[in-house]
Amino acid sequence: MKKHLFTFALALLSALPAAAADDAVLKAMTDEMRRTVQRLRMDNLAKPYFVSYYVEDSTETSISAVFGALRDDNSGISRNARVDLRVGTPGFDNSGYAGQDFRGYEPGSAMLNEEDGYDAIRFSLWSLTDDVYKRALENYSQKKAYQAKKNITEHYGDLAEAESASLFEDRKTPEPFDAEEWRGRIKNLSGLFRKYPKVQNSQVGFNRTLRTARFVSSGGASYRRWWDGVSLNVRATVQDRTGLKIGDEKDFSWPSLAAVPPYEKLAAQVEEFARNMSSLVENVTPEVYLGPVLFEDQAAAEFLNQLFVANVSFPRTPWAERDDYTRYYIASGGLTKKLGMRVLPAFMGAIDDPLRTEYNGEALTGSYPIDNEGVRPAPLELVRGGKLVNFYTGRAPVKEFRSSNGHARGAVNEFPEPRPGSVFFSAQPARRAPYAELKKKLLQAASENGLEYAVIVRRLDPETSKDYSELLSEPVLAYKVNVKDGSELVLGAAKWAGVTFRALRDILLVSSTDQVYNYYQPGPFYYNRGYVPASLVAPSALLVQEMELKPTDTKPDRKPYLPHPYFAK
Amino acid sequence: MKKLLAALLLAFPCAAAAQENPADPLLEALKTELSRSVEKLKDAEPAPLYYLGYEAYDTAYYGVSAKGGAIYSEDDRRGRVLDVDVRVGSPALDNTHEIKGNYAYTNSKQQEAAVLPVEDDAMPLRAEVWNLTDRAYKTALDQYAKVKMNKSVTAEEEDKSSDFIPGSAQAFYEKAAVPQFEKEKFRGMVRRLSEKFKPYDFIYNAHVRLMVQSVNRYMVNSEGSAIVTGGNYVRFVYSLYTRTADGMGLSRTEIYDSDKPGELPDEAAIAGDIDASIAELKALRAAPPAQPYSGPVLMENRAAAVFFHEILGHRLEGHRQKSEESGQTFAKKVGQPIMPDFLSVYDDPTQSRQGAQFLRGFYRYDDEATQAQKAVLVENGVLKGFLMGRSPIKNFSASNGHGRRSEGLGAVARMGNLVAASSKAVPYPELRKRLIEEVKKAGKPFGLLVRDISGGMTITDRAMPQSFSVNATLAYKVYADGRPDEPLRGLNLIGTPLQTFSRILVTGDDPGVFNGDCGAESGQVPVSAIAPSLLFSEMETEKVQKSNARPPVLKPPFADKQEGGN
Repeated sequence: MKKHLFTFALALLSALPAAAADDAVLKAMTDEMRRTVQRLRMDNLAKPYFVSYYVEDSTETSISAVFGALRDDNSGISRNARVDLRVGTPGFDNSGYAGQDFRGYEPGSAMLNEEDGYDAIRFSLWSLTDDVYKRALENYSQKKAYQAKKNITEHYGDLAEAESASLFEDRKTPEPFDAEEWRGRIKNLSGLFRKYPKVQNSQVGFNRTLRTARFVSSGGASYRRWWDGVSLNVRATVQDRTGLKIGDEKDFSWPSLAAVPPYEKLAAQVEEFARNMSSLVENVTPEVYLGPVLFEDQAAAEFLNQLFVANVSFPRTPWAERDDYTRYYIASGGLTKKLGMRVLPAFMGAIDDPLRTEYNGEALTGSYPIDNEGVRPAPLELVRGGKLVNFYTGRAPVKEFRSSNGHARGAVNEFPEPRPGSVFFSAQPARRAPYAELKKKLLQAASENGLEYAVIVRRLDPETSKDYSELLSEPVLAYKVNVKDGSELVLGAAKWAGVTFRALRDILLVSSTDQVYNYYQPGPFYYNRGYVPASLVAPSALLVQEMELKPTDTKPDRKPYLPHPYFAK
Repeated sequence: MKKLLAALLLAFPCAAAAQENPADPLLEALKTELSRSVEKLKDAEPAPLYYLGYEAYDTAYYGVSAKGGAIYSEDDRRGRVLDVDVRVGSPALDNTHEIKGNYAYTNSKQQEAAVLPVEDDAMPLRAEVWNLTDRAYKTALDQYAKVKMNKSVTAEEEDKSSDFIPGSAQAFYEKAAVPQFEKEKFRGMVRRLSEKFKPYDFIYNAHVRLMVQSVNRYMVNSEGSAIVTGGNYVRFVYSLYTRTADGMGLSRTEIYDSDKPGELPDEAAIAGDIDASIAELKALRAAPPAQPYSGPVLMENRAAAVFFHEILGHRLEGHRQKSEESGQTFAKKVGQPIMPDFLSVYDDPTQSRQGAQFLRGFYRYDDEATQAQKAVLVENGVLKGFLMGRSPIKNFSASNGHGRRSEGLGAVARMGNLVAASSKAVPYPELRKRLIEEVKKAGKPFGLLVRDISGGMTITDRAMPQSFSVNATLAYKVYADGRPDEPLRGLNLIGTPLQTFSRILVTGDDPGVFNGDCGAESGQVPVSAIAPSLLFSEMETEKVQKSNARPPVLKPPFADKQEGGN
């Protein structure tokens, strides 16, 4: 205990760097944190042994349009704080305990004044801290009782030691943003759907958010960093020939306006999406299929994301009074229990490197210099020769790793959890092949299995739409490929049957080209899915030896009574 | 039909267009889709579509708030939402009919709404209208089938009224213009006013906020109506909060309403009110928790207005008189006295002001395309009628323009401006004297003066006792022996409506206005209530539930003079 006190004293003495001295928000955070660790104590109950504040500012512009007209056009500023306050000791404290109320398992967070005001910010932090401290005391005693009741002896501590990193970035002047021009672009993109009579409903959305994050901790770590995000979302709904409604969306994200491709390229992508959605109307009824599957484009990236990345994330599950809570509320890291075991084919490897900002000239949204707990990341080898050698960790120790590798990330209203930055997949050259070759191998493998057709999947549903009991979301764009001539027919709605981690090891061959896939990874709790920007650099096509597909259970709807007013002309 | 139209025009000569009706693209888009849909859908299925109505809300909102001397949040939004009302079957029985028995829990006013483009481009607007109409029509068909079966397998209702009152074609066009004002001026004002709370270490939260909302409603329906009507709602609010050592949360809130930002009180006046509220909160915090009491009560005008709204108004909403789930306190009392004969109550949404005070409950048309009318509810103590939308009840088969809702919900009968008038009124000082006389008569040491009450709850569900409980947020003991008044905290006024109203002895001559937002099954609607101060011979109170949370451990940072504080 004495040693801890000494560390505090040192940390508190260190003043803010000169660059941050005129930052009223950072000063308010630092001063209130100092008062909290020095003086916050209720009666003779425990004092906090650790406090950190994370404050995130956002300036957001959202524009959406339908069928050529603006639907929403909003901009707003917000500032939110999260406080992490621990009572007990680093070996055992109030953290990681959901108790009776799983939905209440969220960090203490509050909205702060959007305008810089030292007094106002400090006042809100004080109020939030007081609430969180009282909750922490109760949680701590309940968690102790729970440990005793359940006789839990395997516990590796709650807060790992970490270096006191600090980083102070000054925000660069935001890129010029011509809102009027963007309104025009989004309207025009949404107007492209006027060419697609089979699409019943469509929408194009644009979002640009400028963020600044500030962090101070009584352990000595502190930072200020900024990043921007630009995203485009295109949605469409069609009703297929059987009446089944099929909705899908395509997301694009970039770290800056400069990284956004020219309008013509965006328009081509939107049109491709609209064409694909239209093609779903005249589909062929799926049957049960068991055979090789070729995943391409978004489907290849989502295959790796959902089966691999999501499962080397979130290694530690909070304790809950009822065991089934975790089943219903958590997308848990299933592969973290397979350290040292084969998880990918022997010819593949994977490294996460948050410090890389681009790949072959393409910007990566998953990059960051320091994580949400103030720990700097470094390149992290995840898979070597197909074997899992690491998974993501934060400062909450787990059996396999007792320290953070700088991957604790999360939205401001969720606990920082171990999650990806930018993941680079590699494959031995001998197992890479041009796309035409992959398709040939696919048809060959199907033929050898005595099948008349093989399956290519080009789009999967977003990860958030999958059922909690499934590992992989349903295919949206799947094709039945004739083994004789390679001709393709669109498959009607189908779902996977019995997908296990085995699918990853069943990758036979990958494309010779790689793709950059920038996306937002959803958080681990179904009731509060905070998103963090992440990137995958991975082969753009994967040939998987065997997958099973079956027709969907979803029932069709009646077709519209009237035709769409525009196409009825 | 023609005859009815002529009669209506006679009755409401002012119903003619209030503004020149230019080609309004949103209105035109709604009309075009309406006629296309009615044409195709009316006989598309064996159950006929007999009514189709659209209501589009075009809303502009600006809000700015401050805490601790700095802007807390600032918001500027514009949006459009569409509601579609589809009725299949016949006015006698349609898809909106209440489900009874085992599936009664499925009754809900929730309906799907759509977001419309904010731009006036016909085709994108029509595409969204078409989409929602199709969904709403399919839902209505499905619900109608359920209604018919439910009616066959459950007992007959007591009130056999039909489900819908057919209406006539209405034409009206008067758009509200978004108020123009200097945002910078209000930013400065909220910042400065929010500074005022800083020196007080017992104030644990406080904010100051300005909200300016402009709502234009577009209604078209298959009866031939085309209505555009709008209103502006300007609100300035401050509130401050504290907690006592025994865990009771206490707050003071002041709200100023208008339809023009320029008519709000000036900064100095609000600053003066803030000082008074701070003093009130400080005194409340120091007051001992109230003990249950039964005896004379003087309720001041604004609190009395809330009281009438909560305890009487909601129970006179027409649809509640036939719902098999409702307590129907007043359903069978028409023509009978329900309160002293010196009291009359009516609801008049056409009244835009009470003196200089803007009334939030003012509107020209309700959400069912019926023109707003004054509804006489109680005359000289005798119950005369109900607030009516287009759902008929026994002996009342006409709407009086009170069918209201917020976006995404089906309309039901709601209040607009509820007014309680008295013919036995005395000046306020006299009323206070009368309170003391009553206290002495009852042999009590003190009586209660209630200056402010908050919503609380009033139970109208049949499954529960027909009682009310409202929180007196600012109340005082008024001593019979002339000692100064003492504040009280933590008490609820309780009782049953009929008994409580019969105990009103006399009123003040001081009608006071309450402006608010009222929530019920058809959502939040802006309302007002007007009433004079009331003297009750007896009323009961009970203790409020409190949180048990302790006050903060440390003082607010800028009130903390110790090490580490400011």
